[in-house]
Formats: sequence, structure tokens, C-alpha cells
Amino acid sequence: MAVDLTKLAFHSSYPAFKNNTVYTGSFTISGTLGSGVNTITTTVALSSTPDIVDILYQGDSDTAFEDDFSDVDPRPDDGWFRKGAVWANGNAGFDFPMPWTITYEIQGSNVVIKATYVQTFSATTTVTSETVYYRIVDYSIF
Amino acid sequence: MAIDLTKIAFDSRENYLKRSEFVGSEDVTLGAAGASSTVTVTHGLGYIPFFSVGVELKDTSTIWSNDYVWSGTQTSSSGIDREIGYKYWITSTTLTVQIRNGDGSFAQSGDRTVYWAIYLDYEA
Repeated sequence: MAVDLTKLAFHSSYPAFKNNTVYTGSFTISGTLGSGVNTITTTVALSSTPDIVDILYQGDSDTAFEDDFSDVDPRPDDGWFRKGAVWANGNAGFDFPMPWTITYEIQGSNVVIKATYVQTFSATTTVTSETVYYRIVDYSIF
Repeated sequence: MAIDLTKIAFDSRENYLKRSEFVGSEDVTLGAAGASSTVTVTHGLGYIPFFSVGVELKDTSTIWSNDYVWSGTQTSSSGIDREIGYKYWITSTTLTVQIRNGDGSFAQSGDRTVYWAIYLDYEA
């Protein structure tokens, strides 16, 4: 029997979304920081320029600091988030928590993920290595 | 009518999002100034799904799904009084939404509704 394509139940001439590709990976926050704005950047190359992306991050929350500092971030270490921070340990002669705010930019077919920390009160700080995980889903309009 | 075959919605070469059964809302009662109210949704999917979250914050007439800008005044050495805000995070089993009431004069009262929708990553 010939198929009458006009009878397809799930046809629309209007665009729809498709879940194109999932990109996962990680980068590391580490090093010695000077005062002011410190940014660590990682670039993820997508296979094509995306129409829409959904990006989640994961990394340590402030769990390790809650005994000595108040619980500022309620997120558990294994919670994935869109807006928020990954917490690292800083040392400037004493240990203290450093919330690194995670953001992203789209530059053509690249997703540029940034971890940013503004350092005040201390000229030089050494950061204990901390891993930030990302999960990028590229949604395309078709 | 001419059919554009590239617009057929279920092309088995692609993944799609399908709205799951985990869609809903829940009212929470705001706590004292600076206190948190939490909504937990157990989805149990075993992977990190696509999801959306919306919350009522400063009143019950506006649903927020992103940040808003507010100004605060530091009134003590302990820091700036914060406006009411929210955070959310997801694991392979649960979605958690937490509203934190504002500090000091920014504290709100009453009930607020939290909305969520979780989508299945449907591999055709």
C-alpha cells in the first residue's frame, strides 16, 4: 500500500527541536592566583554551531568547609547545576573556601566555559586542584 | 500539500525530548528570614535529564526561572542582607529546588509555588 505522507500524524512544517549531541568532560581549577578577577577557561568544540544549548556543571560544593564556615551553598557535591559555583580550597597562609562561579559563552561552534573567582584581601593564593565537570547538550532546530 | 521530509518529527536517527510524568508544582511555606524551604522531586531515571524549574519569589504573581538583580545594603559586619532567592540542582535520581528567604527587611512571608518539568531523552 502506498503511504500518503499527508496523513502522517507527526508531521509539522514548523520547526522542532532535536537532541543533537551530548558533550561531557571536565577541566581543573588550580594554580597560584593574584589579586582581582581570576578566570580559568576551557573551550569545547561542537560539531556545528548550535541553535540552543543546555549546560550543567558539577563539582564540589562547600561541603568540606561547613565545619569551619557556615553552609553557604546547599547543593550537594554530586548535584548538577546551571547557575552556581564550584568550591575550591585556597591557601594564603591559612585555608579558606573559594567559590568559583561557572558561566559559559557561545563563540561560533565553540562553547567557552569560564570559572571565575574575585580575590580580595590577599595578594597571592594557592588553589588546591579542583575538578569541574560539564555536560553540554546541543539542541538543534530542524 | 507538499511534504518536507526533513520536518518529520520522528526520524529514528535522532534523539528527542519527551515530557515525562515528573511534571508538577508544590506550595511551600516560607520560613523565617534567611531560612530555606526545599522541594525534592524523585525521578529515578538513572541519568541527568533535561528539566526546567520555575519559582515564585517576591510575590505570587511572577514565576522566575532565572536570576534577578537586586541591591542590598550592608547593615552589619556579617555581610549584606540578601533578597529572597533560589537554587536548584539535579542528580540521576532527584531534582531539588530550594528557596532561601531574604534577610532582615527583605524577608517575605506566606506560601510560594515551585514548578518543575522533567523531560525524557527519548532515543528513537
